[in-house]
Amino acid sequence: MLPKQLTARDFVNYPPRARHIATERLVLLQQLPLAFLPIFLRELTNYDWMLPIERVQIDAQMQLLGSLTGQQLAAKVQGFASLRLNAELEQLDWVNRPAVFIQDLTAWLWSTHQMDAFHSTAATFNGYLADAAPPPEPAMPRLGIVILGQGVEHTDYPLFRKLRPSGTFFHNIKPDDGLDILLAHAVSRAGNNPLQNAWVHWYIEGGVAAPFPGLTTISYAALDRPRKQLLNLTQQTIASGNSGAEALRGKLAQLKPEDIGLSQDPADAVLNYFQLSLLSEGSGTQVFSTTFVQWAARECLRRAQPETIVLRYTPRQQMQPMNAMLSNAPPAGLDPEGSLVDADMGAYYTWLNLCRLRGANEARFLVWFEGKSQAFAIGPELPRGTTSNSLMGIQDLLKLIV
Amino acid sequence: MQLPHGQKVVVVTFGGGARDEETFAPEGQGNIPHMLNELIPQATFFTQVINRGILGHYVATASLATGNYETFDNFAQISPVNPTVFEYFRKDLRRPAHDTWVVAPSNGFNRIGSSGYRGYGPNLGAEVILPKQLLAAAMAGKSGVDYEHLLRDNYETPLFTSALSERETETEKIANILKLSLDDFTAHARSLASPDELSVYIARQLMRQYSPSLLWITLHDIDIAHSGAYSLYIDGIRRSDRLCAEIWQAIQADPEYKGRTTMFILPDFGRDSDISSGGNGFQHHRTGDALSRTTWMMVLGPGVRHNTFIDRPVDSLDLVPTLGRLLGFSPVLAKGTPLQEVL
Repeated sequence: MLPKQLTARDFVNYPPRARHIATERLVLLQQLPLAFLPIFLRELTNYDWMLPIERVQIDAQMQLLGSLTGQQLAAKVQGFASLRLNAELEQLDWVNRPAVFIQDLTAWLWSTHQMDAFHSTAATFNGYLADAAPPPEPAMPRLGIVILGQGVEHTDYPLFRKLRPSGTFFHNIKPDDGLDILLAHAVSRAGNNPLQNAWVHWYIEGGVAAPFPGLTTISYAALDRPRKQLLNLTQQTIASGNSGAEALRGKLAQLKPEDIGLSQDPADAVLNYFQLSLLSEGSGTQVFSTTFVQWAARECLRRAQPETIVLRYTPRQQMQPMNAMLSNAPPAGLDPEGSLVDADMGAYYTWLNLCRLRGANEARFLVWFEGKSQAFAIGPELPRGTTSNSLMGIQDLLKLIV
Repeated sequence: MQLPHGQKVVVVTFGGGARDEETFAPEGQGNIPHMLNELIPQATFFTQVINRGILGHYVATASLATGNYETFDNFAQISPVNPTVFEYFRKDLRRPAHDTWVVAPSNGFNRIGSSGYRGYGPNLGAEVILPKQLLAAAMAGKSGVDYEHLLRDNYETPLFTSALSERETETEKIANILKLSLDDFTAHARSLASPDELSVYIARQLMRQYSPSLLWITLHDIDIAHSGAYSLYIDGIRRSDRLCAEIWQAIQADPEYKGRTTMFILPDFGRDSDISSGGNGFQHHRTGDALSRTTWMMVLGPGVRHNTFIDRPVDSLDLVPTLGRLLGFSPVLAKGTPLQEVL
């Protein structure tokens, strides 16, 4: 089937809100090229469980594209339309199984050396959407806080090396009550109206997290059972002998939160779909807490565009054979030193991802070696590429950047 | 049959590219002391090797071996479409099967030794040995606890690790060929730290038993990067660095190889850059950005200029025509151009 053949009946299996949008915007969808439409539909099928800001963006983009004349729209999506596809792709059920289509499309684009053209077209199109339908400005300057190094007494690793050109290195920090101070500060940013601020202030924890008012909290420990259920499901699929890597990916894309033991309560649906995506789409998030925290931060920044994000890394399990880790083998032990290195790189990636959001020029960033005297901070008022010898507490450090 | 100039070639590829910033850029040089201090002073170094093909490890390694950008499904266990360097070598020079070997990391690579191309095929291909499969068979029916660290399979899709087959008959055949008792083999395996160490151990056994003229070793530990743990990725680079030096030392210590062997070392491609928003930095090679397509190659051996850097961009496909010129065969279907700088 081609997009121009779409009818409202084709969306009968979509969740209610997504179905409503698809039928309301049917004429627009019919005009989009096949190399693009399933990618958009994959987003749309998740609309009912999207974060509020994602819905706002989808609505704005639909509004924008719907306002274009046929000729204008064709010009905007010309790059996608000019990609050469094949008949097999047209025959796939790309309306109901867009993930499978995207997987096959990816393989086709690679094999026909069209991937570079696709990337370039997608970048141009995304740039157009970002300019014409930009996400909202943050209500306050964004703040990222990364706490790392738990379990490491001393390290010779050159911490914050990649970040240093962007801010100030502090090596005389008084660590007393540092964790409490940082989390209390995040809570204070969430303010007194947690409902209004839902999904704006986040805390992602590599171990066990206590609940904090106003902070959307995700923890690796709380997802222990869902992780194991996902790994069991994966192992069963592989053991059946009927699924290769691509079939497995297709299967994971169909999962619902309840399939891995997350609650079915509608009130939890948005968060649980988000958590499911971290485990089923992330690579290594199922076995390493450090990877989980880094990936969760990336996805949180990309999707939720938070004003506050606090990450706390904890030691991941030691490396074991991949086959063993994916089979839920008990951890052989912890690797605090390796985790510190992982987290240090993760902190750098979090800063890069923060810089991709609107208002990046005003963003603040703080990384602290938990319980120790080393920290690193970035803020509009802080000098770059320098080292501070000043003796100060965590509270004083926060004052410097906020 | 005496080969032209008595030449032998060892090709070492890394399945699991490494980026410049973790290797040859100033901040990465601490991870590669052996390549930097021992190998580069004796090598001609190509600073820009561009891979324009599919960035999956099996299909990319197959492309390196055929001199054509292969387009098959990276996760399918199928042979390359175009003739491999091993088939050109054996057909043109009438070499026996045991004169060319591939030591490769995982099940996906077991078809890399030959193509399905008419006039070529398995009868002219390389012997392929998968050390992990050998170990899995040796362990059959025994506790694997001591060896499991050597059995990591494909990291490219971390949730999917294909089962290692335990084809005992074939494994025993290979063990016999290598003059290895399975007990000795498993005893030695216990002392090794990673799958790549196992591969290099097997490669050295091959060199000792058969002195193959064309030996292709694919290392894979670096690809643990797909799990997202930066420290483990760095560990993989350091181990590969050490193993490359060990292979070169083994060549120099073996009279069959010393003074007549050219060694090529190259990652199959790079990894995504930190600044490419579509990727997640070092973890994957999915964006197709310049960093993920660009890597390097080091060439050492008799007649190869020392401490020489070639900055012009060359293509991954140039490897096979270069090997053809060096060993005296004609890779008629390979694209690419011989690299005159090392001929």
